[in-house]
Amino acid sequence: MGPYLLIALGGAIGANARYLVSTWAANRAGVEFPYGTFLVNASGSLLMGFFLNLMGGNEPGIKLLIATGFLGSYTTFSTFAYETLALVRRGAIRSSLVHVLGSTITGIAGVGLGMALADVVGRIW
Amino acid sequence: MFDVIEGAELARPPRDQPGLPGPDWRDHLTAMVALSAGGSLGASARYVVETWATDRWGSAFPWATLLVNVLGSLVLGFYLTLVAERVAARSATRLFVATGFLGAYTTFSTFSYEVVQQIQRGEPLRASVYVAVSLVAGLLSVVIGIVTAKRIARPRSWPPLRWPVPR
Repeated sequence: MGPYLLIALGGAIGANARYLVSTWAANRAGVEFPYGTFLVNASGSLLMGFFLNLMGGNEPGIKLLIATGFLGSYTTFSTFAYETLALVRRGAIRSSLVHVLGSTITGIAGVGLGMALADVVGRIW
Repeated sequence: MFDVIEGAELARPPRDQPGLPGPDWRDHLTAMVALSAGGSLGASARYVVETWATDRWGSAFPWATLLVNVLGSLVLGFYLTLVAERVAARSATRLFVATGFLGAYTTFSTFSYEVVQQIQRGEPLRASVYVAVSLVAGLLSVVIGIVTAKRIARPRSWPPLRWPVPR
């Protein structure tokens, strides 16, 4: 029961946070492009790199809560894939390519940046 | 319905249209409950499938995340199309299934993290294969989900279903 409680708690908060960011982005920047999902996946990847690098091999409980639960749920692959096809279907081929390649590149670069930041923080601490 | 962008239903809210009441606290509470229930179940389901897949296939290649992302994309394409074609689901139900459960079940941050891990381990080729396979299989599975739902919702012999059903 232990791991599931932590994962469920993190997962619930993550889904709500994703929805908040998505509606905020849609309100602010419009719905021509899935800004919300893009932002969520980029920021979640950055936090994932930062957090896992900072934690190292310690604290499996906090990892379940934050990495598996919160960040796993905050970021999403299915909506990313679905929205890419929605753009293709709408004829916005360039936007769909920006979404696919941009999300992948910012996701990977975000993890790298997060890890580098964690190194800096770890050294200062 | 295929044009759904996450969060679009609350974008440009009715406060711009004086005739319509905006979402009140009950709507926000309903959304929060649906998202929390879906999100906690989705994240737990991901953990179950990932533990199972890692036990079975090991962790040399991130099969577990690949499986979860492909499955979740397939079901999302299927569900959102079915909702559009056939079932007039309440928006709370959609938030529970699509945004909550399937959104939490699949993950982008773990995917990116695994790519960086593979690069750090000195396996750039394996990392590229992982990225390419995830993207192609993810997009393809959405298409398969959509096509399957269309077949089920509108078999060729049936007339297109109008909602509400005329008597």
